[in-house]
Amino acid sequence: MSVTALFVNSTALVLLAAALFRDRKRALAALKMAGKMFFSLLPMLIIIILLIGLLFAFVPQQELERFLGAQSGPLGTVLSAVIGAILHIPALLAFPLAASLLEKGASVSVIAAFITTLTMIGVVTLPMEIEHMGRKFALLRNGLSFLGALAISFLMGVLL
Amino acid sequence: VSEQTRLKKAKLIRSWIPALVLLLLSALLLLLKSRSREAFFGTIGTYTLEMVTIFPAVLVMMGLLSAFVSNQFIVRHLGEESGIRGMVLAFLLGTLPTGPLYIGLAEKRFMRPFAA
Repeated sequence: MSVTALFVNSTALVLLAAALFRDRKRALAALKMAGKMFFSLLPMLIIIILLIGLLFAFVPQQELERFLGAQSGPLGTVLSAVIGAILHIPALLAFPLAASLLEKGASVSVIAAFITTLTMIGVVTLPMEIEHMGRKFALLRNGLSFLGALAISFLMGVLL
Repeated sequence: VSEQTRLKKAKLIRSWIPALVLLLLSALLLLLKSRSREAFFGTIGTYTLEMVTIFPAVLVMMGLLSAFVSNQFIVRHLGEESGIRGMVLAFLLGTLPTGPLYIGLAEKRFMRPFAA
């Protein structure tokens, strides 16, 4: 078990014990909620793991480098930013995918653009954001986030 | 069976379709190219282990957070009167690892009557 896993699990256990001690009923409700979340995220989890497996088993390194590597240039970065904006993957599941793409030869700025738009922009949730927050807020926030993501990915490429 | 539970069931089934399609596709590819099997199973083994050891704990913490942190608490700390402290707190909360965005959006609507 990795250090991260050890840390996360022990923190969760301590919190759970404290919660059970303080309010048993609420703690059990929290556990039930966690179970529900697990089953609703399970299909996505399976998809990500299969995608990573397929990536390592079937995609040749030079092909991936051509589309996502340093040669892909600004176009590759913009493309991955757009894909990240459209896809709706929880960050918790997206990081392993991003890490495996990096390992396979994708460039830092491409992956930074992907992760940043993935977490900051939600095209799928845009109608909901407009409904709750207003059109101006939603469009401005998402538009500025896209520009910000491009700036971040450029800086990441320079710094790393 | 009521209309609502029927809809819920249909939604559940639909959410599994992409995963099943990808599973079939992977199985087909692996049957055709048996040389890639080792790389495939090695990779998914590593990632599955990583997910299994971290994912449940994170979900438990998220569940505890929503069960124990009351709405009044959130309004008090993120509402209009919270000022700069509220802004800093909102910024920090937003950097927490998971919390799918739509939960945040729903909470904002709830807070609107409280002028957050």
